[in-house]
Amino acid sequence: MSSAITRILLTMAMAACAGMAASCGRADAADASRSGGDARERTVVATSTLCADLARTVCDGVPGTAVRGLMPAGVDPHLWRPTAGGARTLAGADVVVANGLRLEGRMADVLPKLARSGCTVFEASSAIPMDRWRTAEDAHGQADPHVWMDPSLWAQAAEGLAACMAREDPHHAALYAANAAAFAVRCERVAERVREAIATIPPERRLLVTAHDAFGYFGSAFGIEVRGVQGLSTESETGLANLRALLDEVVARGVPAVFVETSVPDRAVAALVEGARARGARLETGGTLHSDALGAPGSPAGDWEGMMLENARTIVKALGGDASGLGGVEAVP
Amino acid sequence: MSAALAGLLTDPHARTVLATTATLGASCGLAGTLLVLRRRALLGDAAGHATLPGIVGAGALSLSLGGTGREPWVLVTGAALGALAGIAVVHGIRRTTRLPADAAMAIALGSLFGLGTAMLSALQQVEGGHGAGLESLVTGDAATLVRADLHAAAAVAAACILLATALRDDLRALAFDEDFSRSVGRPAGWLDALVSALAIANIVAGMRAVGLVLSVALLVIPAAAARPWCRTMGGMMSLAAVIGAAGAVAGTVASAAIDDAPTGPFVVLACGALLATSLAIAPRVRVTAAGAAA
Amino acid sequence: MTSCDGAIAIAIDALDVAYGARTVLRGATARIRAGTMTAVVGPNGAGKSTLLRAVMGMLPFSGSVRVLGGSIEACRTRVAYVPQRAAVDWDFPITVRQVAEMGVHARLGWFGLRGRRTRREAIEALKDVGLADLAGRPIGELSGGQQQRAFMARALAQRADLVLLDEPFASIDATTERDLLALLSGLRDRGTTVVVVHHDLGTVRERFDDAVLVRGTVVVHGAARDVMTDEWLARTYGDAPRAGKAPA
Repeated sequence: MSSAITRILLTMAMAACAGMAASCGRADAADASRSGGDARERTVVATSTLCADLARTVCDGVPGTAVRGLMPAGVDPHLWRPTAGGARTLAGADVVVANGLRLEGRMADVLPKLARSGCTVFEASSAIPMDRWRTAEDAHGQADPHVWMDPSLWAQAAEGLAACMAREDPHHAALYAANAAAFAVRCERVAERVREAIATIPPERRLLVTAHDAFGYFGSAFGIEVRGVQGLSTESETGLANLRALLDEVVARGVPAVFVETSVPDRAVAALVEGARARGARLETGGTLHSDALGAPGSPAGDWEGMMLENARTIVKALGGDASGLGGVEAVP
Repeated sequence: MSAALAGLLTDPHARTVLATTATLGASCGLAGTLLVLRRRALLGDAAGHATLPGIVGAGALSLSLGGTGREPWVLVTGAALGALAGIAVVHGIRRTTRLPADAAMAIALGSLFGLGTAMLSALQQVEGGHGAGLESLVTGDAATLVRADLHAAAAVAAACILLATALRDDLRALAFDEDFSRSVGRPAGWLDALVSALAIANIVAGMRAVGLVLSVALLVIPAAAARPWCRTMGGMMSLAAVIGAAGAVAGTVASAAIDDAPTGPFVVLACGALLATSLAIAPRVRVTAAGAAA
Repeated sequence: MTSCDGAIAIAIDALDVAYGARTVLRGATARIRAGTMTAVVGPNGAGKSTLLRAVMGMLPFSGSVRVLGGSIEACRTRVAYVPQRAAVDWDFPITVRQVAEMGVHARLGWFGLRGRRTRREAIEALKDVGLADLAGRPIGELSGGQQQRAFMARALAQRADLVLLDEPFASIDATTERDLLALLSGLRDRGTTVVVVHHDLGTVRERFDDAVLVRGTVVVHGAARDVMTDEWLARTYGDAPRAGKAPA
């Protein structure tokens, strides 16, 4: 009797597994077919939410171009693996917009293969001159991929994408260029506002500690020191030595707040907070930042500009600065 | 080394990490002895890997009901159910086919871990990206252990010590001579279930520290290291606990001294080093003397 | 001490045992009287061990087996069984004394703090079989014959009403065999029923009360002097020798 039950359970388990795999593929395929109708329509597939936002900005108002993002909101691009459906979507794309510099850590072999098969692969980081790339001291030569954190660099990425799209679609070249130029102006304005707000943070408190080392470019662009509990990528385990060194520094400098990130589990930051409090220091979680992923579409952090301002607001408020210039109703502490 | 240790002992956070890994090492050593002597080490491995679909399933269920998908009790329940399912699958295969025990365990381990990986990948496609948090349970994240983890490890260790001591004679009889144990009417099934439960409890408690893939190593290696030095099961349990704790301390201290060193794997490596040393210097255990003069 | 069911310790009726397609015992019927020393004899592969294991309920069978007046499940703590060669891990970290203590636990219970009494009774049992000076040794360090004696000590420590032993003297020299037989006789004198699978037919005639002759079924059972005759032995062994040891 129980052997029959066991067999039924095993069959159910296998069916559930197969069903799940199939449904993942089916959903992606349904979406892909929607955009692939018109023979002249150009499919632009972006990897991360930030690349999707960049692509939408550059392709805004251009007829016959459809932009699709692979990763949903809040997903960690360091760890994300495309499903079979996602791979099919990529294969059917005319242009693929990726970040590069191994942000999409688990797609390292997919992108070169796509490039070789005739698809145009644009990497945002390659549109930025190499001397502007940041290398973390302890990252053994690996460059920091989080280039969207510096508005001037992201504006250059937009220009690069516009040039790439112009080669693909010369008919609308002027439109792409205009979009990129308008975006560059917005970037400049965002940079000004953020820089001013950061400057209101008392100097001794200008230390931004986050779950992983995603804010390096942010730090150098806006004059604030940055530290991450984990390194450049969320793939590796937190090192005990790294955590302890960070704990020493945070306690010694009397930093009031550290920050969690939407796409990264908050265990590391929680351990930091508990460790500091156990030593008698006052430390809190200052808020949640969007580091590697945008928020849900329509939310304040649903696009790049909103994300940058939202992040800056959270940081400045928690570290004791004046966030009133960043929009929203903020009281001066 | 002692200076490094002293430095660790003065810092509350490091003390928590050290105490947690040491407690886990001791507890795993003790429970692992029972597992090894009962010849269920592979079953422990299958159960450990089978926790993955349970964890992911529980996390997904919590998410769909509006939770965060990462509540500790949700994950613990999911892990325990997954491990039980793994053991049930092994027993089911053994009863319905003529496959030998190790094949049954390999099948259960592979298929359930594969199922868990597929489920994890599916979860990562969902908005919120909570799959990332569950991935750390596969490989462990010892540096971020907090006091709550220490309490959990201590509770599991206390339960193991209590049960193993109270039922010591019964467990010894069962592990040594199952036929005799059954012939005098002892509940072999329940006792085996208890050994499995203790192993699963240690696997779940150790997930945050060493991850579920390495958890069986922490169960088996200290027991194996203790074996050549002990002539009784009680002695083996105690020595395995000491070796597990010592390896945990050594691994944690070493990982605290080297940047980017992952604590969990270092703990297992330290235990492995102790095993190698033990086997190298221990007096050779005489296998049997059957055939020698009475 | 007699069993509940008159003076019969083990009653077997129409017992059939098969391993897969191979029938080992068919239609076995026997009565073993309480308070006797009964030998089970027969050629190799006759089903003697199988008979004991069926009595102990260690394998599936059809037919009827009543032990001490009821089913084996009802009187497990009153029956001790010493297998031919225990299927144990000889590398297991257990001492000779702890093996004997298992027998004490079977009688006194598995919990509780009777440490000293358990130890004392275990040593007593080991003294009876002549292993007291090896009490602290790991079981794996003993010779085959010594290991057999250790398991016999375990059975003695159980102080059971019924003791079943399967070829207990296989690796034991003649002197020790004599001593152990005397020990078993002493048990019988105190009312324990002793059943021994034994190959030395001469000893069976001299020292045993009853005998059960087995060859695929129970050929005959009863008082040793009645059934250990040339005629019955011929039917059981075929053309095997009578007095002395059975063929290998």
